[in-house]
Amino acid sequence: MMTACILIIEDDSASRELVRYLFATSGYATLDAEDGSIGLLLALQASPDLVICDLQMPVMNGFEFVRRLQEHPHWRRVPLIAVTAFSMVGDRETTLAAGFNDYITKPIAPETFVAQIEAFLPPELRLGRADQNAQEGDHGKNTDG
Amino acid sequence: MTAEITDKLWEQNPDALIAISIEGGILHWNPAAQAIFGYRQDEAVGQLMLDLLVPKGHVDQEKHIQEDALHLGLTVYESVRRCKDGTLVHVSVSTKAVRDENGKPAYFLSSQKDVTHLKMLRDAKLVEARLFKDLLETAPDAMVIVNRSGEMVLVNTQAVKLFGWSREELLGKNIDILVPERFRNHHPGHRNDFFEQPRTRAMGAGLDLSGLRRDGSEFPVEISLSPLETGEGVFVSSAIRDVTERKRFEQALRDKNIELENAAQAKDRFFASMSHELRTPLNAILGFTGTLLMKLPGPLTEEQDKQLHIVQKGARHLLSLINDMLDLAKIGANKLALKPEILDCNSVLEDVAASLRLEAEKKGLDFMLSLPEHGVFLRTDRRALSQIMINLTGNAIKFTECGRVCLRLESRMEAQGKVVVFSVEDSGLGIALQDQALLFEAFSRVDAADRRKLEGTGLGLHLSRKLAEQLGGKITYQSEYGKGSIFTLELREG
Repeated sequence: MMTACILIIEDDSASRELVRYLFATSGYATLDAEDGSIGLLLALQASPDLVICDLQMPVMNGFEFVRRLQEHPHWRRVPLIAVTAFSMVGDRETTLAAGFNDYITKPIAPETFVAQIEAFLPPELRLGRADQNAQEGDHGKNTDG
Repeated sequence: MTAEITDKLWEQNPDALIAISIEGGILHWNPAAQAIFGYRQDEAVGQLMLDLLVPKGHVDQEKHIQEDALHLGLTVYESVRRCKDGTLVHVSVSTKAVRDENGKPAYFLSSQKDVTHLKMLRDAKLVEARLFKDLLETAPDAMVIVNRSGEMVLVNTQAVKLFGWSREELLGKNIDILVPERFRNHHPGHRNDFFEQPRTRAMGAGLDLSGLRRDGSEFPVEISLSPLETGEGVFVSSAIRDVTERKRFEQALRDKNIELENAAQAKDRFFASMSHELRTPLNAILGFTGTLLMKLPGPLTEEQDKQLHIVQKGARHLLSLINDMLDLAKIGANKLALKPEILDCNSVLEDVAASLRLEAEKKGLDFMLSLPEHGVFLRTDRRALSQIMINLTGNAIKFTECGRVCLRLESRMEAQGKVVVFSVEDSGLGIALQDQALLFEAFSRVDAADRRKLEGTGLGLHLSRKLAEQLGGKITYQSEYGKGSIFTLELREG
């Protein structure tokens, strides 16, 4: 069976490395890009099985990326997940309306992140973490007084 | 003409008829003269007219008029007469010098009509006109009164000053000279419309009207029109106010508002980017702390594990600070999006309890959840309600060293509708009286001596109260130092 390939588009190198590391240690193949325009080339030429994309990036932001991708005749329509540090009113709605399949805010929970994303892969491409960790983890809820 | 009719004319004439000698003595006196002046014929005849009827101040005038009558043959004038009882009457007098066959004046025949009542009415009109003029002068606005065809019949000094024409130049001219040329075509039409339905109203409501000065300059005006009904027909009274100054203020206010709006937008953008910029590095810190603690890169020593947990806790604290600040900023900017939905309050509290029970039990506290048997439903925002209850419950756990924390839900009916009461009771420190005033202020955590033992952002209660206000509710508390506290959130139906 082919190993599923995850494309990570993220301008913050530390965040990019974190996501890459989480998927790599889970057994996935990864590709990464530091802005939307490089991401667009990889998405169209390397045929990833899923794309994780930041929204605010230099050169080409996530919204522009998703717009151009969807307009492109060679685009295979694999899941697109936005991971962003934006968290203002209406961000989630805007992002989903732009064409993303899900919206995850930073900081991500490393314990559950891979499982959350895997849920969007076709079952035959999942490497098993989805069931294992779906119920686990702390989302960093605000409990302070 | 028969003598009988001549006698009737003399007897029945409603006006006083008096024959007076050239020297001024009364020769004849008809019944109307008696009725008007009070003297009988026999009392009047032989008296001098000036002595009998003319008040002192009018004697000279009366003498002149008699001379006129002598020269001209006839005089018509108004004067005042003193009656027998001392009252004064106003009379309209026609005096004719009657001549003999030689053309020599023989005597005067004087017809004197009592016009006291008419005079009063006329005086009243004069006073009215005078008062009206005074009133116009004291009005703060320029006042211009025009007739049906638009000619100005009365203007006040303010109008003279405002438009730069003299009063004489304005009177009789068409009001159109005060209207800028581009509006003149429509003006007569509008005036006709007004006369069709005369009632007090603002002219051209919502339109920007302009006045035209004599020197050709224009200025913004506000005009109010009222009909003025008189015996001579309807006039329009227009009050014209120069609003140059007010327009300037309005513009200044608009500019200021735009400035404020820009500032508010700049603030929003600032908070949005601050949120982004602060979360980005935290993502890496919390993420890699997480991967290390998950032992993905490899095993950890006990000390490494302990220290990484400290890092994680600090980073989460920082995150909750950022979240609270953002929520406060959103409330401040009215950007907090509430999504009211019908909630099962029992299940909301069960979720809150589930997320905090472990923490309470780790401290050895009894953690109790008391819910009514029947479901309690309320239309409100789930996230805000959960956040308030998590804050209140988290605080209770944090500030209670031993004993218990009890989370309770009740509902009651009041005249205005259902009230849902969420309360959190603890057996902790309590709040000293002097600290209670500061309780809901940002970063004002009380009991500084215990600070090192406690954790918190100092924003939780402040934010909770603001969120409660957003939900139309309020947070109250009862506390006694050393004996614990009860914090209560009350939300109302509707």
